[in-house]
Amino acid sequence: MLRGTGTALVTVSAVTVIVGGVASLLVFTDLQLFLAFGIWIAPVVVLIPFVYPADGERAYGLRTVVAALVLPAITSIWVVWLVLSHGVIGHHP
Amino acid sequence: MSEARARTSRSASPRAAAGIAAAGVAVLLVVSVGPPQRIFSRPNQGDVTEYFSYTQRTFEGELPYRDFSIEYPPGALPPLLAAGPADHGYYDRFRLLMLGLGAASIALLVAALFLAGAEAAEIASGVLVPATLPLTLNPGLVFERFDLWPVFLMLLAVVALLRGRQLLSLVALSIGAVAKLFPLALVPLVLLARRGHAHLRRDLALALAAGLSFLLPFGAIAPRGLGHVGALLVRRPLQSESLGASMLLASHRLGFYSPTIYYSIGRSWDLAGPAAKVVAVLSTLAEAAALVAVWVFFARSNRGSRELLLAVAAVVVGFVAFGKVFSTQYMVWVAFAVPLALGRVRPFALAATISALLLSLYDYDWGAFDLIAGGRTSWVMLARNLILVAVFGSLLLELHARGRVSAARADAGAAHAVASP
Repeated sequence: MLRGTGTALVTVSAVTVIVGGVASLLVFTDLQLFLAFGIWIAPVVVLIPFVYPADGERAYGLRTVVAALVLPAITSIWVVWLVLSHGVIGHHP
Repeated sequence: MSEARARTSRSASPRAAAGIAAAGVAVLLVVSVGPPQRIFSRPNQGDVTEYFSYTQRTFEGELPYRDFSIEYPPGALPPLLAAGPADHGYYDRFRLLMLGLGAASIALLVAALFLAGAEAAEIASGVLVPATLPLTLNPGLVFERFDLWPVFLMLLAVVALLRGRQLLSLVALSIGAVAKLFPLALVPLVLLARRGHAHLRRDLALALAAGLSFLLPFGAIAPRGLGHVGALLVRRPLQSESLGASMLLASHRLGFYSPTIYYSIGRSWDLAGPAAKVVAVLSTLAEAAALVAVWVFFARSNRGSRELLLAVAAVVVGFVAFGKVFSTQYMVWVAFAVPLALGRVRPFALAATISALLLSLYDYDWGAFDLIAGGRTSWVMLARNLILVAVFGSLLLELHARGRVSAARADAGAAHAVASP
């Protein structure tokens, strides 16, 4: 049962990250706004130690990476939706 | 707490650590000075205009706390006055000073992680969080407030302790505590991290003297003005961005509570009424319990460098997350403290911190007026605060788990000693 829950968590997390990433890129057609928003920083921060492990041994696995990215992904989607609904895209303060 | 014990073959080399520190500072400079943020081309508004006014009056010969009211304790005066005199260049000099403190804080963060034996990739990923702060938080909150001053002192204290300089560590925290209160919560960790009690009284006396050297002159000349600062600290109501307030505002969205939000004595939007007063007291109790829990779990661990860094991160996040006052710029403290945490919890803690920063950015840039009106930004604030509570919980659990491992190792060692006399 635990294994099933873990698989479901990884699947849901992966889908959320993909949707979040695609949503961010689609919405922030203004590259300057996309860079200014910093949504892209969370995946970079989590992936650096995963991609460049010391002595070829990773401190954590793909499941941890995905689990760690769930919150930023949901946050990104939500904030993008909030900003869109307020109609301020392209008008960074 | 020696460097040799913390470092392993996987740890970053000194050259790699220096390179990462230089790259981190370069990233901070580029995202701050270059487009789109361009901190030296920003309009002069917000708290920095208050600092300008304080500096102007001080340079004209008036004495802070006696001749004019000031809401910050005396430890805040050095960065405010260092950018003086109050002429047309004051604002950019203040931003430049904060940029310098930010760069120095990044270097200290790298030094702390290096001394704790972190890998190069761990240091690099951790440094990116504060180095990109002007993108994940409004740059005005980073460079037009003086929060980088106590952050710098906090990190100086951590590095000094990791290098075995307890006195310097205590003095840095003492000065930090008279600028902003949170460094005071780190003092028990420094005392617990000591091996032996040699010079403890002398160190504590000198650290106390450093803090009092800021307070006593003003206390003697302007006791009422200085007392006003202390009264403000204690009497400030429940701030609208705090965890307790966001829970009340979420209740309002569900129709269970009717808030009264007003511009209060602390120059912030706060909640009034009996429910807000009760929640403010409960918040303070929860904050105290959170800090005590970190101190206890740190005391039960083997109090090594990694446990110290975890405990420092947990204290700062707990102080911010559970407090009755939560100004958005407190996220600057969190952004510099959480990357100190090493271990299994690190990817979650870093990613969740960025989530909390993004939600804070949304609130500050687009949702502030909606929050004051009890609008749907209340949910954004609740989410931001619950994320910080989750970060605190994860750091505390990691610290607790390390304590259990230490205890198990001690038991195994004792059993081995009994078995082979």
